[in-house]
This record gives sequence, structure tokens and C-alpha cells, in this order.
Amino acid sequence: MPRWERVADAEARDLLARAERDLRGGDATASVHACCDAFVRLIALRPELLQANIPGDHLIHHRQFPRLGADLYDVDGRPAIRFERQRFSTGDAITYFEFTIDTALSEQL
Amino acid sequence: MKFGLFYEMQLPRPLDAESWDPDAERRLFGEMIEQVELADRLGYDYVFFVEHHFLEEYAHSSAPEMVLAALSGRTSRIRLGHGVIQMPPSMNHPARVAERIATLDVLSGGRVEFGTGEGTSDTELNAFHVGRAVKKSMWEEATRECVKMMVQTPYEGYEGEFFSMGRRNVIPKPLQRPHPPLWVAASRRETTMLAARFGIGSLGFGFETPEETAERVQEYYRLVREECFPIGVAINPGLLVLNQFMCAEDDEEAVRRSANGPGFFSYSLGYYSTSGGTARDEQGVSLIERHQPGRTNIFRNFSALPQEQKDGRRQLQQARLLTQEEIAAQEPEGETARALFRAARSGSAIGSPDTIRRNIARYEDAHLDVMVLNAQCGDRRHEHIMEAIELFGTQVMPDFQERHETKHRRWREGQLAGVELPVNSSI
Repeated sequence: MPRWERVADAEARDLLARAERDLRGGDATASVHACCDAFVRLIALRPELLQANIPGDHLIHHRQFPRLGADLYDVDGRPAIRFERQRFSTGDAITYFEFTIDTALSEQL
Repeated sequence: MKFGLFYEMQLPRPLDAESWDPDAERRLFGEMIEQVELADRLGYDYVFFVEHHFLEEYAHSSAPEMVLAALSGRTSRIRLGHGVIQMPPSMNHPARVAERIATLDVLSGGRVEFGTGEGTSDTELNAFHVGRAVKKSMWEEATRECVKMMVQTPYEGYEGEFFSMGRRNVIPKPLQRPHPPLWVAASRRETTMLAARFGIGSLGFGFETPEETAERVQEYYRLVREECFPIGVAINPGLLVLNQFMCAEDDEEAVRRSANGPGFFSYSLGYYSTSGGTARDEQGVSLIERHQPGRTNIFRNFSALPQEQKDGRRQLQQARLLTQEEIAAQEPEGETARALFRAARSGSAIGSPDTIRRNIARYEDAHLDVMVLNAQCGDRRHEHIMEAIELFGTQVMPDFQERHETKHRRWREGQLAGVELPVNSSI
């Protein structure tokens, strides 16, 4: 069973299902966008995820939302994703996809 | 489980001088060759070398292809691993990588493990003009095309986002067909899953615990079975974990000889790693910002820390790789007892042969394929490393290797049942 099926929140699960379809269909860029939407949804459910995933003092570490050109920011206490790139690779998409699922499952969302 | 050695080629500056003596690097490389020759004689399966640039004291292995070429002539069985080649084209052009891998494979009689990576420290990425946001895409494009260069006659050519090259026949071709086993460095969990989806081995350089490994192994092999779209021509399903290592006749001596190896490893890794460095001063300013190339004595700074900050956990905490709860876990009194407690908890290979056997058995239970041991780190002594390699190689490793053949191989075949993709793997 794909791991995204274990995500409890229906909206996040649907977005992750779409992300996986796009990934399998070869549209990595669409997949990254769906993952970002899913992560923003997770933050709506668990607001403390926002600060936990913003690098402090430009420090990036291994347990934060990836910064591969779809970067998470705190804009007046609300999450914002800035897309620094027009196109993403399959590897980028897998990275965002797996991180978002890991977060959803570890937070039991 | 199979076993290997792992080398950053650490060379701490002396405490009582501003820089190394003129013979220090020759001695370091000479001792490493003796260590690998011994490992080869004892039946260790692998040796892996990093590629890092400008990371003084932390990693003097900047030209691993040269080291592995030297070792190919001085060893006969041990497999020669890149752990890893930094694949962004401005660091290593894919055609040059294909040529070097193939040449080494021919020279060594087909013993190359082709580990790939994207680079991580600003010190390196900025020097080679590699953007952090695009480095993974660079890795993917370069790795995919590099493999094609090894298998196509002639290579069809490529017009890409990060490099382009016309139709050429890239020679020589590797001895292992279609190409040597492919790996990717995975310090993040999601990169291990990326490896599974691309059908390549995961080089777990994040010192994953046995529990983390157990979860990753299951998900990794599920993805290989169900969702694999290979980046290479042949897949190399496998997980490798890097582990801290020091073996001696008894636990106390092993802890004493382990000394500040793991602590300096973590400190210097944090000093250079990721963006801005994770090692911080008491004001929270990253130490790398004050780094003076060719001048700063990182080992002296490390040595000046209070003892409780030298064990690596402080650096892990600063990097937020350990939680407060993990840091606060109940620990015994006394330095040696505490070191052994931590080794047992994390599955480290530090202790007597019995202790190590017990600690790493949890990785075997997790169905880990390969463990590589970080023996050479900090200012450890060559003779202690040699004894550790010998003790482990004669008293611990053989039983695990035998069970690899009699049990693990069958388990792995079961995991890969139904996978119809071609495989080239040394596991």
C-alpha cells in the first residue's frame, strides 16, 4: 500500500495522491506544486510546523522542508511557498513528496 | 551483512603549531594504504572514499579516483568505492567521470562501486558555482547521462539544462556490464527513497540507528519492487549505513582509543556542512563565517571545548539532528560507561569484539545490506586503527559474512521477487 494512503487528512491525502500521479506520469513540476500545496495544508492543521521548517540564520538541516527552488517562508505568520524555478526534476519531486508524507505520518495528520 | 571501511582522510592540525609538518599528508596516505591492504587480506568487502574539496582537517580526500587507482594495484579482492563523486558538471564533467570510472574498473578487474552525490557544503558548492536549489537536478541529469556514456557505443549526445555534449564514443567501457553498481549519498531519509525509486543503492551517511534502518529497509525494498523507474541500465538494490568504529581487546581500551574521533568528526562536519555551517559559538554565530583558509586551526578550537561538548552530541543537537528528549536520555555516570551506553544505544561499533557483535546485530536484524566503518577520524593512531581492523576482521566480521550468504541473500532475493529489471550488484 502506498504510504500516502495512510495520511489521515482527506485534503492532504488527495493532494499527495495527485503528486504521485504526476510523478508517475512524468510531470515532476506539477508533482512538486501538489506537494507544496499538501505541506501548506499540513501547516494549517499543525501551525507549529511552519517555524519548525524555516531555516534559522540561513541554517538548513536535514529535518526541514527541502529548499530546492520551492522554498517555504513565513509571511506574517502564514506559510508562503516561493517558486524560484520554472521546472523541477524527478529527483526534486521525489524529495518533496517523501518529505511531505513523512511529516504527515510522523505528525499523525 | 557485508562490511567495508570509509575514509574522509581526516587530518587535524597539530595543537602546538600553526600548520601540519611537511610530511603529514604523505604519512596519512601511506598509513591509509596499509590499512586498506590489511582489510583486503582479511576479507573486508568494500572501501569507500569521499570526494570533498577545501575542507581542511575534515576531509583531505579530494581526488579519490587517484587513491582508488593506487589501491587497485595493491589489493586483489576488496571492492573500490566512490563514496561519492560530486556529480554537478562544473565539479566533474559527466564524460570525465565515465572515463575515470571505466578506467578504474578495467584496471581493478571489475571492482568499482560508483557512488554519486550532489555536494553539500557552501565551501564547495560556491567555489564551483553550483546553486543549492539546482544541485539535485544537476546530479540527476549528470548521473543519467554518465551511465549512458558507459553503455552506449557511441554515446548519442545530449542537450540538457546543465550540460550539453555532441555524439561521441566515450572510452574505455567498464569491465562490469552494463555498468558498475550505482549508489547515491543519502543523508536525508527522502534521498534513500529516491534511491529506491531510481533503482540504486543508498549510501546512508547520516549514522542512522538500527531502528531507523529497519523502517527504511522495508520501505526501500517496497519501492524497488513497486515503484522503480531506473536511472541506470542495471539496478543495484541495497542499503549501506556508515557507523563509528573502534575495536580493542576490552571495552575500556576501545573507548580510550576511540578518543575524540567521533567527536571531531561531528564537530568538523558541522563546521563545514550545509549552508552556513551548523557548528556555532556561544553567541550562535556559525564558525565557518570566521574561517580563514589555510590558517584556522579547527582541531585547536575543538580541543578547547569542555569535555561534554566534544562527544559529538552537542553538534548534533545544534544541527537539530537529535531532539531534547534524545539528549536528555538517562545516562550512566563516568565517561567510559557513558560512551559505551551511547554506543549501545546508537548501535555504534565501538568496544570489544563481544560488545560490537551485540551492538551491530540489531542492524543485521533490520536486514541491512552493508555497514561501512569510520575508523580513521580525529587524531587516532595508525597502530590502533590497524589493530581494530584486524580484531574486527578476525573475530566479528566472519560470522556476519557467513550469515549474509546463508540467510540475508535469501531474504533479499525474496524482497526482489518479481522485479524483472537487470541487476548489477555486489551485495
